[in-house]
Amino acid sequence: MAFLDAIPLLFTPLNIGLIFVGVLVGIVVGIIPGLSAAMAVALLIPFTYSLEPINGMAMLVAVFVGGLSGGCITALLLRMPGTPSSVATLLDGYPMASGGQAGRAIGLAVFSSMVGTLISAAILIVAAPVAAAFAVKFYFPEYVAVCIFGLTAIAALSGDTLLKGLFAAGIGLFAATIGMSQEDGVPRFDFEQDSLLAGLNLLPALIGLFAVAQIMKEASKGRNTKTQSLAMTDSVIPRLSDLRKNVWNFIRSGLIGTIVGVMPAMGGGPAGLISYAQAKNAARKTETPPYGQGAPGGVIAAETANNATIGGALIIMLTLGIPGDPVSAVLIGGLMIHGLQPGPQLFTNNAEVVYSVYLSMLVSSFMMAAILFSFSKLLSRVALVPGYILHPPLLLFASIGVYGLNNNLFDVWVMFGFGVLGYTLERLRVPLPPLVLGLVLGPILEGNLRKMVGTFDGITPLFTQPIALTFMLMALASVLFAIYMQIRQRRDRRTKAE
Amino acid sequence: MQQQPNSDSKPTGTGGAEEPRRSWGDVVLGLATLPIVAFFYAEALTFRKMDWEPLGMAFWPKVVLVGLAILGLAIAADGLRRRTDRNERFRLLAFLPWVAGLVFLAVLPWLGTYLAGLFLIVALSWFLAPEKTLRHAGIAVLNGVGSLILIHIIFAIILGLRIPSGALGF
Repeated sequence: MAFLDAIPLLFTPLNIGLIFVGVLVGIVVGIIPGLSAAMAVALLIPFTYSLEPINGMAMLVAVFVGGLSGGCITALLLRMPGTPSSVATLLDGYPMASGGQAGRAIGLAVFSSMVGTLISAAILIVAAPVAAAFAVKFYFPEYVAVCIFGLTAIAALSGDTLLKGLFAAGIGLFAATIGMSQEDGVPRFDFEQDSLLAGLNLLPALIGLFAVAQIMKEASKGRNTKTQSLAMTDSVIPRLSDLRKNVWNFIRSGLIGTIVGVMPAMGGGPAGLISYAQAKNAARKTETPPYGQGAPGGVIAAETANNATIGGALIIMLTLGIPGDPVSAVLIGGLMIHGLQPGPQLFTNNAEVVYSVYLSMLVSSFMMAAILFSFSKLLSRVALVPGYILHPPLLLFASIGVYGLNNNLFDVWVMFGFGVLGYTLERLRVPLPPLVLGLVLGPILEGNLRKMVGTFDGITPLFTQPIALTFMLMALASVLFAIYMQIRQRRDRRTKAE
Repeated sequence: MQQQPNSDSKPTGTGGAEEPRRSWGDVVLGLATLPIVAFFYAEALTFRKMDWEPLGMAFWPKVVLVGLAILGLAIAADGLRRRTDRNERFRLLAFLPWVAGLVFLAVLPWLGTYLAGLFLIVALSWFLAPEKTLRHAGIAVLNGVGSLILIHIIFAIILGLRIPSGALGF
């Protein structure tokens, strides 16, 4: 196999050094709320001008891996998602950390990130052409079906408040309609304000919903409340029992992440949430602690899936030249700067670059784990800082990070707007993750639904196309399962009351 | 997401422990949704209809808004029917960082990140401090200066990002 022959050429000290630098920069950027992996890759592209394409691509892919993984640290310790991908991580990760298991949560998140990257790298190496062939079969009905399936995760993400979960998802779906309608090129709900033309950016909304709302919540405790200590007193080395119990969770989440990653415009956020919902559905009812209150399985599902999107995104980027997410769009730019065109010809004309991407994914995942394991103790100390010292700078960091996305102050206003929305909804026990799901899936669902109806004159393809039908059946099964669980919970409650 | 146990979580309803307490927060939430939905629905009615597309750009927002209205009503009805209120109390102090953030944003175009940021951090650290002593005032100032130095190093020097400067040039 040519890949095996290429390994000695790729394992050079320079390449390894560049991968290390790339992972480190990615982690640092991923940790800072507001800064995305795409931004980190874009920032490092100028440094690759003078490098050979294989070295340059190795470093950029390393930034991708580091950027996606670093976001979990702030999500776990501060309930502040560093990147949109880590939203699902905080659902169980933050309760774990605030329950005195910060080390266990970080250990599981880092290990799961590594496993997710490795699973998707293995699929990329072994089955890239097959996965690409699967990806090109996705047309409007398939996207609609996947989004409908994704939205069924609302049931699992809503806990015992399904009505409010649906309400939150509705808010997310509606918020996503604000701004320019991509299908028509005409603005909606802009009220003739230029700043609303581009719509509401996802990252400022997420940071507002979770980080600003959390800072507000902490501030509300006042002076008499002791600062919650997230001191890492336990080990970061994952327990064998946690890993053994979650073998199927790792595999399922890795596959979900890779499949979601293959689909353009989806990304790590929905991958984590969908995978989390599936893990929750598959978990035993007797699981302690339950999902949403610090279940290790939740952290594993979220982190494995969001990192597995890396391989999925690279599959369609390398084989078809399609950017699956903003990071791979920037990576394509990095390739083109070196005169390389992604697509089938890349595999024949510049196979060494493809191998460099493979190698970088594998090595980066180990380096990312080593770096995060080594520094997790140090990083966790941030959470020991009293709230009155920690929260004001965090607010400023988030504001500047969000501003840096588009050099646009309006994004910072959006962040504060969603902050007060998040705080209000949480007080009223409206779950926030379904809102995120609506925000992310809304534009994809609407665009593809309208195109499907326009092209096929109806929704029948949802039930006649094999892939679409499969996802629709999975969605139906998910809904039936949620209904069954609701009935069972109600029956249990009634039995207990009697 | 399920709520975590919270120290400030108290019932907001009226009456004693045995009395049924309606969830007024839910009622207000559900009913407040209706005028907001109506406002946006009326706006959606003004959207242009494109000839080449069967559904039109108002279709999806209308569907979502109708769904939100139905859910709002259901939440309000559920709030009235509920025997216990599990919502958590709003606290004015929570809005302090939010207001400080808005003031920061409002003065940013004039003062720039460094001065406005210094104001944000020092003021917020001081207001949130457990005691109002000289020591805590010093901590607040040190926090502001230290954070801004760190921000300058990370954002401006290492990442080379543009930090918004104000009319004063900072």
